[in-house]
Amino acid sequence: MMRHLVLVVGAISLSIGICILTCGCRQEFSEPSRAHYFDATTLTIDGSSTVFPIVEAIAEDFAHDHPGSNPTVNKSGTGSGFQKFERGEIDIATASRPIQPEEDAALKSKAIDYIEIPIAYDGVSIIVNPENDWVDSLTTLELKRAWNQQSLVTYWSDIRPNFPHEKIVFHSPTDNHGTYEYFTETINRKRDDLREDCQKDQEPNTIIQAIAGEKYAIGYAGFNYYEQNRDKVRVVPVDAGRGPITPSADTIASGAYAPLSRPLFLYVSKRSYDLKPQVKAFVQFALGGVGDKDVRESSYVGLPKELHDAVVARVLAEQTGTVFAHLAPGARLVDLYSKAGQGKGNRE
Amino acid sequence: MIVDIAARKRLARRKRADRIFQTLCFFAASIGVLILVLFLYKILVDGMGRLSLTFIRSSLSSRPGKTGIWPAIAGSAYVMALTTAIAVPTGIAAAIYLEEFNTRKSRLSEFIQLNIANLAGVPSIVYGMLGLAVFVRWLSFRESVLSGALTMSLLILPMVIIVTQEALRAVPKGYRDGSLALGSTYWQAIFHQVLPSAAPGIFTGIILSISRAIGETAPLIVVGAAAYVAGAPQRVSDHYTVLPIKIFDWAGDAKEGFNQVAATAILVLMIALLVLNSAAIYLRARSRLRR
Repeated sequence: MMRHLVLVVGAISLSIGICILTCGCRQEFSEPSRAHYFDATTLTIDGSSTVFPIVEAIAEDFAHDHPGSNPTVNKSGTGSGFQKFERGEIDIATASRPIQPEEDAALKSKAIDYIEIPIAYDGVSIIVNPENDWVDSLTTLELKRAWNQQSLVTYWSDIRPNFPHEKIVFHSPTDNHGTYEYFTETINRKRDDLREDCQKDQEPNTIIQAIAGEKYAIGYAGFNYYEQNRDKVRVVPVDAGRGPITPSADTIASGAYAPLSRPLFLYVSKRSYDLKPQVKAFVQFALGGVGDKDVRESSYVGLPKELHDAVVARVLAEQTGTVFAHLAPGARLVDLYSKAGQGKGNRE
Repeated sequence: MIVDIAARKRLARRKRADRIFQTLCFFAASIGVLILVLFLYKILVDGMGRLSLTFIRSSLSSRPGKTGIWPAIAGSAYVMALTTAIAVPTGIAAAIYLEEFNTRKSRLSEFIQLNIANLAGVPSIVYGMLGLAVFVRWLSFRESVLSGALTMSLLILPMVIIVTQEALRAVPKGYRDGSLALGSTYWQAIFHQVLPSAAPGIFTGIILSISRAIGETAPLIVVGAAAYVAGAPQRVSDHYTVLPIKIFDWAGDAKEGFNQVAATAILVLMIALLVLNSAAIYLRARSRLRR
C-alpha cells in the first residue's frame, strides 16, 4: 500500500521533471546555440542603457506600425549586451561606444557577422550640484587628475586652489556601461582606469538623483540625462585646449564638444537581418524619418545629414564589420566612412 | 511614617516607569502603522490621477503621458499562473511525502527537511542566478515566461512545502486512524480526510507565497525580464515584463511624469495583492464553514 502511494507522488514529480527535460532537449537539438530559439518571429534588443530611451521609442512606434512584430528592448549595459550578442541570444546589440577589438574577434570566431549602425550622438556630460558655484569649467587634464586611479585629488581645492576645501564625492556608472568605458578611455587614456573610491551606479538616474542631493558631488552621464534634469543638476563646460565648451545639440553634433562627444550604435546580427524580415524592417524604420524624430524626442542629437547618408548607404550595401575599431576621440565620423568606402574592404 | 513616605515614593516611581515603558511600546507599535499610512497616502495622492481603465489596458510607452501597463499586468499574471501550476502540485506532493508517508524519520528525510528549511531562507537574487544558469542558459529556455515562472517556482517551493506540512500536522491523528480503521488505503485517508481538513491552511499559505512572489523583482531581472515589450506575452516562450520591474524602471526614469506613472503602477500592484489576500481570507473562511 505504502509503495503504491510513494509511486503516485514519485510519478507526479517525475512527470514534471521529464516535461522540463524534454522541452529543454528539444530546444537544444533543434537549433544549435544560436538566436531564434523559440521561433523566428521575435525581435530582441539589449545593451546600453544610454541608448535604451531611443530604441524604446523607436520600438514602440515600430510595434504600432507593424502589429505582431513584438519587439523586446532591455538595458543590461553595453558590455553585457555584446556578451548576449556573442551567445546569439539577441538580434540587435545597442552600444554607447564602438565595438572593441576583443569583442569583434570573439564574434568573428563564432562566425557572427554584424552590421554597424551609428544611430545618434551623445555627449558624456560632467555633472555637479546646482549649488556648486565655484566650477565654471574643467579642463580635460583636470578631469584626468581627479578621476584616474592614482589620483591625489581628495578635496575640491586639490583641483584648483581657489575651490573650497571640501571632500569631493565621485559618482560613475558601473563598468558594464559604455559610458564608463568611453569616459575612462577618453579622459584617463586607459579603459577601466578609474579612482576606486567613486560610487558606481547601474542606473544613470541614480547618479543624477545622488548629485542633485550632494553639494560637493561630481559625476558623469549621457547628455539626455542632464537635458531632462536641467532643474536638478548643473553641467560643467569642458576645456580640451580650445576653450570651455558646454555640451548642447550643436556642439555635440559638430564635434566641438570633443573629446566627450560620442556616437551611439546599433549592432545588428547579419543572420537575423537576412532571416528575420522584422529585423530588416526595424533597421529601415530606425534609419527613416521616425527614427530620427525619436532620437530628438529622447533628447539625443541626430546624425548630421552627410553622416546619415553614409550610414544608410553602408547598410543598404549590407556591409558588415566595423569602421570604428580605432575611433580616435573627437574624430569626424564621416571621414571614417569615406576611408572605409575607398578601396579596401570593410573587414580588415 | 517615614517608611511609608519612602514606600509611596518608590511606588510612584515604579508606576511612572511602568507608564513610560507602556508609552514607548505603544510608539514602537504605531511606527509600523504610521509608515504604512504615510506610504499609502503618498501613493494615493501621486498615483490616483493616472489610474483609469485606459491606463490598465494600454501598452507600454516611452512617453509618460501615453503609457499604459497592460503588458506588465499580463506578464505578472502569466508568470504567476505558471508558477502556481508548477510549484503547488510539487510542493503539496513533497509535503505529503514528508508528513504522511515518512513516518519513520530516516536520515535522508531529515536531510531533505533541513534543506527545505534552509532553502526558504536563501535570498531571492540567488534563485535568480540559479534560474539564469539552469533555465535560461543550460536548458535554453531563454528569457521567456517559462524561465521566469520556473525560477519563481523554486523561490516559493520551500514556502509552499513548509506551510502545507504545518497544515497537515494540525490535522488530528484520529482522522487518519479512523479512516484506516474503516478499511481505506493511505491515499484514500489522505485525499478524503486529511487534505480537506488541511485545505484552508494550505490555501492560505499558497496565496501568501504567491503574493510574496508577485512583488519580487531581483530574480526576474537576472533571468531577463525585459524593460520594454510591445505586447502581452502570448506563449510560454515569449519575452515578458512584470509589474515590479516597470515600477522600478519608472521610479528611476529621468523623464518628468514617470514618477507619477510609477505611483499608479504601485497602486495597481497593491490592488492585485489586496485581491489575492482577500481571496486567501475568503477561501479560509469558506472551508471552515463547510466543515
